[in-house]
Amino acid sequence: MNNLDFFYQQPSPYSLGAAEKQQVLHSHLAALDAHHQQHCELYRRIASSQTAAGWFDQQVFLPVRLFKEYELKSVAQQDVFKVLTSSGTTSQQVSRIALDRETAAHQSKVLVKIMQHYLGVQRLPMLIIDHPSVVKDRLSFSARGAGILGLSTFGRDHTYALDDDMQINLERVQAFIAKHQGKPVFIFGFTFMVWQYFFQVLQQSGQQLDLAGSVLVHSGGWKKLIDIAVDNSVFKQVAFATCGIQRVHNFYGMVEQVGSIFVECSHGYLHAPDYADIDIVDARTMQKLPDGQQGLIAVSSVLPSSYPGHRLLTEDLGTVFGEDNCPCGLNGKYFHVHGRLPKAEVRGCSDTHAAEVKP
Amino acid sequence: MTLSAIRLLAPQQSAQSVEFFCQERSDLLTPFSPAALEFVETLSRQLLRDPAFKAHPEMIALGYWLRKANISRLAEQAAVPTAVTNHAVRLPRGLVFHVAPSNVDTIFIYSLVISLLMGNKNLVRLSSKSSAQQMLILQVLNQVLTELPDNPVSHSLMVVTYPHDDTISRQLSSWCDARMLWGGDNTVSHFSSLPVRPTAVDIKFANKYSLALLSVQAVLAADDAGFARLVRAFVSDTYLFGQQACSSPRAVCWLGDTHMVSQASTKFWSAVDAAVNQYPHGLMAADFMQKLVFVAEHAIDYQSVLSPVSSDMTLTVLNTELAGLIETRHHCGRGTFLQTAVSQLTDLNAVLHRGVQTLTYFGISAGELQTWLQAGVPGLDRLVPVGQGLDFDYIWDGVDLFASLSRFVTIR
Amino acid sequence: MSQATLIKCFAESLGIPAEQVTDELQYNTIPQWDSVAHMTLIAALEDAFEIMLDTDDIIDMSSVAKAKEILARYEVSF
Repeated sequence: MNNLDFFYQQPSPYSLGAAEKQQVLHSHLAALDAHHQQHCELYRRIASSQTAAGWFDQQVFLPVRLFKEYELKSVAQQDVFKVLTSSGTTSQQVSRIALDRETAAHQSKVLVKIMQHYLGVQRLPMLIIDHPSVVKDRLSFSARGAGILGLSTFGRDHTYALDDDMQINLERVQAFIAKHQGKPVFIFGFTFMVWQYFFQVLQQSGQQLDLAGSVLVHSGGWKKLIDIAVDNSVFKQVAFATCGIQRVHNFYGMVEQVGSIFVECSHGYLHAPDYADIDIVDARTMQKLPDGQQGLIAVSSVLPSSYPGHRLLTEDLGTVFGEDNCPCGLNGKYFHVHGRLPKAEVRGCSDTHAAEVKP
Repeated sequence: MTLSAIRLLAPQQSAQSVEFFCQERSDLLTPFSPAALEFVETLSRQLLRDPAFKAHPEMIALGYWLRKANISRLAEQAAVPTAVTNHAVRLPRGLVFHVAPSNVDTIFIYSLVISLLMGNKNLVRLSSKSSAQQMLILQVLNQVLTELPDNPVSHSLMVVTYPHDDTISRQLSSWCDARMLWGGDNTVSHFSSLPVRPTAVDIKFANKYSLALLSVQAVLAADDAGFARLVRAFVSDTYLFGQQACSSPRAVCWLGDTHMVSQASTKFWSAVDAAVNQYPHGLMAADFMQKLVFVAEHAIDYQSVLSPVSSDMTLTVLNTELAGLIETRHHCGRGTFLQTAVSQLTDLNAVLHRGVQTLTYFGISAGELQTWLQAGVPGLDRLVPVGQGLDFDYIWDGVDLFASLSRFVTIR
Repeated sequence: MSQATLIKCFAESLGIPAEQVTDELQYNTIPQWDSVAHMTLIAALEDAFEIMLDTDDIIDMSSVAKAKEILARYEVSF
């Protein structure tokens, strides 16, 4: 039912100008609003409440945290084809995203459209900065596993750079480099893993790898790196110094909206593709903010029809700098992510530090 | 024995070991001893006079409650009827072990003070997670201890912390004569599982929920000054500590003519909305996000709907059916109110339970409330006029702290 | 004497200059006299005049003039 042919027919995933995008994207999102109202009772209840207050220009944005607490889906149980979960790195609950075949197919297809823009249509030899067991259990995908599998489509001769003990397997990596000498290579990993277990290990041991001409794509957030004072420019410098990598693309995306990711352009800005949009929201007023102002990131995507995740309010802070006028030449809004919303101070006597009472 | 993991926070130095302190009983005082009165008075003066506490309303409120006039009043209220004093003497219990909530809330200090007024020795366990509020509490206690080095109370108080360790908690529990447990339901249940000696008492203050009851007619009929007072009082009950205190109302129930409810509620919330935007509530983006999540959770669970009465997230009002009025699982406070209406008091009985503590009221006569209570209600510990929600009372959560923290020796 | 003590209590508790303490000064009309400072003020008045105020009087003390009127009932003369 969720026909995205119009989007697929565009010459690139960054084709639509602001006026056209407004019209096409928003009528599509409005159709998804109606679809989820009709097929997800829980969504309908939230929507009735939010619209009564007139937030977000009467659009309904679900806080992402809800997917950790409730099973929000707009398809019958027998149509659920797989369930994506966010990584369970902490003891917190994980998000559970119910996918039917249609939504899963759109996710893969849109990811292809966007990645091809950066990698070309040829499948490149792929070096994965992770260990192979992360994708072993295909029935319960972790977000990391799902991300690696999703991007594996764009590579061939998949080679894992790390062993299960998180050590670099230099022999394997060197063999991979030798085999594809002089040809472009696709490198993928999660930001923190790439930094901690690859770049830093190389830097500290003084080893250099010849990966010049390759494209590094990475994602997963900067939180852990900001804590150790590593920002995007330091990351890129070290990528060049240790491996000669000059093309580095970070991307912003979340398990609640797989597919329509926001990739960093050649000028260091994250870009909204035709399939998605970004808004910055003032948490106090729950209204959208103008360009240039920092606030909560709200993301919209035309892909989710099996679960009501087409408009989400994240807990990340960001700033949109403009639309269609990025110096890189791509259309769409371009922005920066500044990190997670700082936590509020908790007072009172409720059980907020439940961990403390555990023996 | 792992008692070496215990860190002494106040006094900063002590000649006594924790072990000795906990087992020695020869140094107990008597109820309302001059020494204890001097200690409390000094503590109050420190809180009210030191500019360091100016920015902390909870510390000022504590100092205010501990002021001499109020303690004298308490002493009168706690006075034992002559019928009893003729054949009974009140004495302290012995060692009281206070377990403070992990998010340090000043409320446990109130019971600590009552305990030392009764002449007990006191061992306080603070969370090992240090916080700004915890620092303030220690700062003021250490100031008083330094100022009164010869006051016997200064030697019968120890504040400690230790990383979570059941062996230590078990040992300290086994030494005390009374244990005061403050905290969330999990903390209280967990500590309860560690035994105290057979002669000791456990006093538990778990998480509680409070609400306000407003008369539709009284709100509509109130004159300007009275209405402004109501709004100010309501705001300070609810926004002073970000609505996190157990006795801060989290719900508003309207009582009266159901046709007039929307008129009264619009009048009331518009005024509250204006007032909170002038109020130093300290709510930040993360708080608003928390509220947004709760709005969704409550809509899912009870089909509640946001009321458009507020201009932004500083005030959040959710219209709900009676069944959704008392929501203890997700309610995040921070200026969030569940609202419903009933036409008679007894309608509330259907949703009240033992987890409901305070009911603040406006425009309803004490007689009417008495009649309702006397017929039996399934919850509620205290009913106070709007504006007195946060006032501490020696009868808390239905427990007479003077009685619980002392013992009677009868003589015939 | 009482007048001077009263002014001193107000000025110190609210953190305002003594000249600002006039009969007309009202609760909640200046940022310094809010509900928190009101508690400090009550404690200071009780201490200075050695009295114990009733709750109703504490709530009613909405201006300096009103404070004098209330204190008079506690046998403080101005």
